[in-house]
Amino acid sequence: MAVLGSAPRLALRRVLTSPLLAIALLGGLTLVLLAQRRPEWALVTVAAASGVSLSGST
Amino acid sequence: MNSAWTLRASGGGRGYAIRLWLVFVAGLAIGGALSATAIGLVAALWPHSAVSAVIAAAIAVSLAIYDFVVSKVDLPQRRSLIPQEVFLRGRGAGFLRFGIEFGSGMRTFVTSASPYILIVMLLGLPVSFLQTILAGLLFGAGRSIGPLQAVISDNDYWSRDLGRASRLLERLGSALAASVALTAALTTLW
Repeated sequence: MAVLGSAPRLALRRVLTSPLLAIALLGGLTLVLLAQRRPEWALVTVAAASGVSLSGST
Repeated sequence: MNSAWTLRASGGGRGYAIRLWLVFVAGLAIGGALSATAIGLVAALWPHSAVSAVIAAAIAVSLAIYDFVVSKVDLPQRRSLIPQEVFLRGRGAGFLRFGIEFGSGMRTFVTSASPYILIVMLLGLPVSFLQTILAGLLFGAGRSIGPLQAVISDNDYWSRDLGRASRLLERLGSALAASVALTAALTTLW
């Protein structure tokens, strides 16, 4: 991080703290579990995604 | 009261805010697990079959469609904010209680259909009690991601970005939950 200027650092922090990134990662994991035909575990990861989806009302 | 802003305004710097967030996550996970336990106990009252899975999937897809059609989700909920009095016994105890009430859904605003879809799935799909509790724990943990991001971002971009993306986030949560319900029902059938 120290080698990055302030603008790239801000941009990186903005990406890492994006609520869309959080739900995309959890959504991706959920879809992988669904593709492996493990819906009972996909339900558990989608529960976390459901919590993230409410980020607008924190 | 808004948890993200309360954490950011805790006054002890980012390290202190993150320590408070850890207490908040614990409360959210406890609250989510408590609600999940109640749902699991209700779900144990009837046998789970392909029929209950199909009914759950149909309701889940209907709820997701509803979320995409309406501009604002208006489903049964308490619509109650956490009062500032929870911090009378100190910030640590306050955030724990805040988390429990917030994570259990006792006091919150639900702006997405996804938690309702989750409840329908836990009631209708052949899910073990352990998985039900895990779902509750992770739902609570998921609710803590936004406040953590607010603390880490330490600028106004987070709230602006969230403001632009919040409705999309809410709908994505519903679409994901409905896709799990649909796949689970199809897996039960075949």
